[in-house]
Amino acid sequence: MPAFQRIDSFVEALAEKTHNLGSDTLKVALTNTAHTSTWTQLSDLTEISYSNLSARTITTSSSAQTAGLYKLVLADLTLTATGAVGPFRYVYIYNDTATNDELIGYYDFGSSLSLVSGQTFVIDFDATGALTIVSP
Amino acid sequence: MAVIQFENYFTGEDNNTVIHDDTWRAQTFTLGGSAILIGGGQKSVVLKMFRIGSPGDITVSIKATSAGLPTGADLIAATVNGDIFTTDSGGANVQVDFTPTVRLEANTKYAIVFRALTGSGGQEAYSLTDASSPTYSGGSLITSSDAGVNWSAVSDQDCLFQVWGVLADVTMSVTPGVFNLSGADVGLNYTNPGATTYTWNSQAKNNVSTANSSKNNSTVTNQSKNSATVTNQSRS
Repeated sequence: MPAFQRIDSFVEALAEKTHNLGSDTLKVALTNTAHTSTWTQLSDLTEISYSNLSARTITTSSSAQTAGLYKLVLADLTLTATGAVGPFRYVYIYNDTATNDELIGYYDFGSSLSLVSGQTFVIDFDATGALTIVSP
Repeated sequence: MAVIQFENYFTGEDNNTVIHDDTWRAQTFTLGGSAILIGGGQKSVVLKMFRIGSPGDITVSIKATSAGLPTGADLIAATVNGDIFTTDSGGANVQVDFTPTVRLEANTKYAIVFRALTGSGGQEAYSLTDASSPTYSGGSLITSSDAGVNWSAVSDQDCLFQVWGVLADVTMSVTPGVFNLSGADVGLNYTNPGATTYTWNSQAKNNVSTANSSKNNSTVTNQSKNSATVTNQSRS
């Protein structure tokens, strides 16, 4: 099960108001190029062509804290191919509302994947929160 | 993308079933828990067949089912040249590659329908079957003598068949990203007029819990949120 991989600059961007995870539009970006630690925004990625792929916008189900535990809950995202897509291996979440489309995190599928027409790629986010911030 | 096998019953061959003109046959199958895509010019269906005479083109298709029987138009179809089938009654594998792609849904029964439309008695093709307590539970041999208008299930017989394709749904289940705010001490710093700095640390922000605490001979009094007044300072 791929784990969320942190983008180092995300915490600073979060602290300095780049992100409003409760209202901004989050999207996924697909690439077959391994992550480099200096990457901070969408333009740093070499994305695949999305011409045969459905919309990549993530629906935010909730953004709230309880007793100091913040949870960003995202709805599962189904990407449907209408032709050849890929290959890709890395799935990034980025903030499409932020000025520079800042990156939030990414997942490593573990191997390169190509889709054929009619095939779907489902990103199954954890129902209890795709991202949490814990205070001590 | 490489195809993988999703349904397979290729054992126990001890009988056969014939096709020619209006004598059609089908084998039903039930997919497991994943939807698949078959076709795309890749291996889709495999049957074990032989011929007598020259049956001509053999049309193989996938149909939906209703009450366990084929129904409706072909979801996808292809033809193979039956005239080059082996004449050995032991049969040989016949691979069918569908050119379009069709999605078959999980936990759903479909039918592989095969017929020799230009065949006739003596110019016919056969599909090998297992007629001795076959163990495939997802379907059975189905027969029609009127070109697919009416169908009858032969529940105690299965064709030897395989269904190949790719997973329609690739799911990536991901774990949450967790960011921990640091639990390190939050420092309160005070610089006295003599430029000697004293530092008190509290474990929790906004909470100086020690009443009348002292360090380096200084006393903290008048504590309030985010502030502490230091009196009685002296250097040790």
